[in-house]
Amino acid sequence: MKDKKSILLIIVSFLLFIVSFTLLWTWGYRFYNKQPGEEAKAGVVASPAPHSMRDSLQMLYAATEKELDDRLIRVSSNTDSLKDVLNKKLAEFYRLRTEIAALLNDKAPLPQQPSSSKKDPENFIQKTSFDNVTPDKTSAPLTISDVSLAAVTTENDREQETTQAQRTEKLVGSFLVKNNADQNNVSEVMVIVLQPDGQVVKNSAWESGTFQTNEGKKVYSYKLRFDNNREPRRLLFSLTTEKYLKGSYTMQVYFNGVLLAKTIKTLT
Amino acid sequence: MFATVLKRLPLAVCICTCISVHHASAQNNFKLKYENSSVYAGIDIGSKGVKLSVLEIGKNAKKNGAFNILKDTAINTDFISFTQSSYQATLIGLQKLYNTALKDYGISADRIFTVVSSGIKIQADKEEKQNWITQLIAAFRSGIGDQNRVVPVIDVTEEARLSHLGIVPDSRRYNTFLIDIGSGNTKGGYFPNGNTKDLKLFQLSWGTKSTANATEKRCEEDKSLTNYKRQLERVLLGAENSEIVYAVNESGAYPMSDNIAFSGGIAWSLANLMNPELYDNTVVPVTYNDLVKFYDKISNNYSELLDTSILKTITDPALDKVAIGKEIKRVNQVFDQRALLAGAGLLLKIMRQFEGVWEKKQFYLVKNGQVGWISAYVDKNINKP
Repeated sequence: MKDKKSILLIIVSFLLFIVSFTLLWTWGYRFYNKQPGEEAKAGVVASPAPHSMRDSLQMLYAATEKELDDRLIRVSSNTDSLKDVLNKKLAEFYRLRTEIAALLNDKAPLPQQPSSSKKDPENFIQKTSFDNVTPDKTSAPLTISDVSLAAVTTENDREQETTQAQRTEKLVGSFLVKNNADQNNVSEVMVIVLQPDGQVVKNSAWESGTFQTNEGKKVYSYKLRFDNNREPRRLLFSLTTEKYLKGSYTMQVYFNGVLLAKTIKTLT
Repeated sequence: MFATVLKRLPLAVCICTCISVHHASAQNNFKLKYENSSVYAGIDIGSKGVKLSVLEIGKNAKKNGAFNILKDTAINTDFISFTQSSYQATLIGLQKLYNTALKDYGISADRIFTVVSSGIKIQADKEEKQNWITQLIAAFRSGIGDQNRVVPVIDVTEEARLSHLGIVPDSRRYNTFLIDIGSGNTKGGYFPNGNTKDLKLFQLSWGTKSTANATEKRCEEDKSLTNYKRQLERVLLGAENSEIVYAVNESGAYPMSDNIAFSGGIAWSLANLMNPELYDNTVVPVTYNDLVKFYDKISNNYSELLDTSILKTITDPALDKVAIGKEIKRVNQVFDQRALLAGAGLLLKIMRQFEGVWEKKQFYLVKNGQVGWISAYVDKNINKP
């Protein structure tokens, strides 16, 4: 009995050994000897979609690329058209600038205008500046005439001119101004009234200041602003101080730092 | 007896003459600028201490803003620290300045005005030490033997209102925005409603000293001028973005004002340095571009702003070079390059808010702004019904 059992066990274990060996051999064989075709077939069989998906992805990619190209082309063409617009506006700007410079400075040399859109507008802007245009201070687009300075007193509620320093209550100045240039703008004229002792007559500190002239910085008594059209016009101002001295009062009229007119009034 | 009287009469006459001459000479100690003017004294009890200002007020002061500072004296007592020692020092200083005005300068008591300024009031309210002010006033009255002396405590709005009334002439009352740039803060205002009772107040927590201090703090170890300028730019940018832009917009001053006037120490110094020819003008007009160029000069050519350099540029023989030189020297002593940069930078940041492309405001620098309130206070009191 025991012999039979052991023989049976031996046979079973032998059979198990053979089976496991066979299995191992089969797996190993299959692992090392896989056929590509079989793999492909297996792949196709396993997932039939990837090729079509790749195609659709490819198509999507191609479509996106095309769209981006189109956009780039549109942007480029827009830039070109913007450039054209910008160049046109720049040309207009330079034309107006030249015109303004010519109006302000009759005899000044004119800056060169750029040619059309071929030049790079950015570089042009960097190179060109107003420093090349120097105002001509020797010529004035204004003519000042009929300049007068009067000392005024009040008698019987009426203002009357006087020549006596003691009776003077205020100084009144006037002059005619005529525009010689073809322009309409707001201009400023500076008036200096000097006392006999050389001091500048001022109404109040709020109304006087300094300005640059050919002879350096000067203190003005009065600043007159007016619309500068072609019609001659009379400008008036008055100055009131604490005290009026005997002697000569000098009135000077400046425009753009240039002395255009002068008159003297003597008080006794 | 009659003979004795006759003998002593010349002596009595001499003594009387000496007393009256002394009294008259005290009155005539001052070189007056205006005809038919009057001399007043204002004593201001402020945060730093007590200040006496003697003013000549011309007959056209309200019309032209014509007043002239004759004397300016200050005693620094730091009253705002509210300690016993600062209290005593302030009381002694106050009595001393009052007696100086009364006896040395010969100004009658009814022409001496005393106020406690807003800085003290604000701090006292914060620390609940209002009774310190009350006691100071009571002790002052006892000390001078005048229990009826009025010593008002003015708040910041009233101080700004009086300054406007004192500095700006009537003709520009409703189109001028006055800004006082002080050392610790900036304040000012304008009258939006066509009357002088309603003042729209404007305040900033930045002043010249506080800007300079903030810059110094940022410099850390690198105390070079280059670093100072760099840090100053950052401080000013921060101030502009965090406070100045908002404060100016909120004030509503832009559409209501044609004139923007700046007072304070920095205004005084820049007015003198930029336009030394206008040394006898209490107000100097400037433009934003002028100040920008001048700022570059302070930054890169400070030596040109010393008295010797400036006097070389004065060519007009009618100008008093001695007086100009004296004033420029004073400016150089009070403001060094860094302080000027800080103050001018702050001023530019505020000015910039009003500098339009099309609409141009007129800017002014007021030299005597610190005593503007006295002129208004005097006018208010002497014209009381």
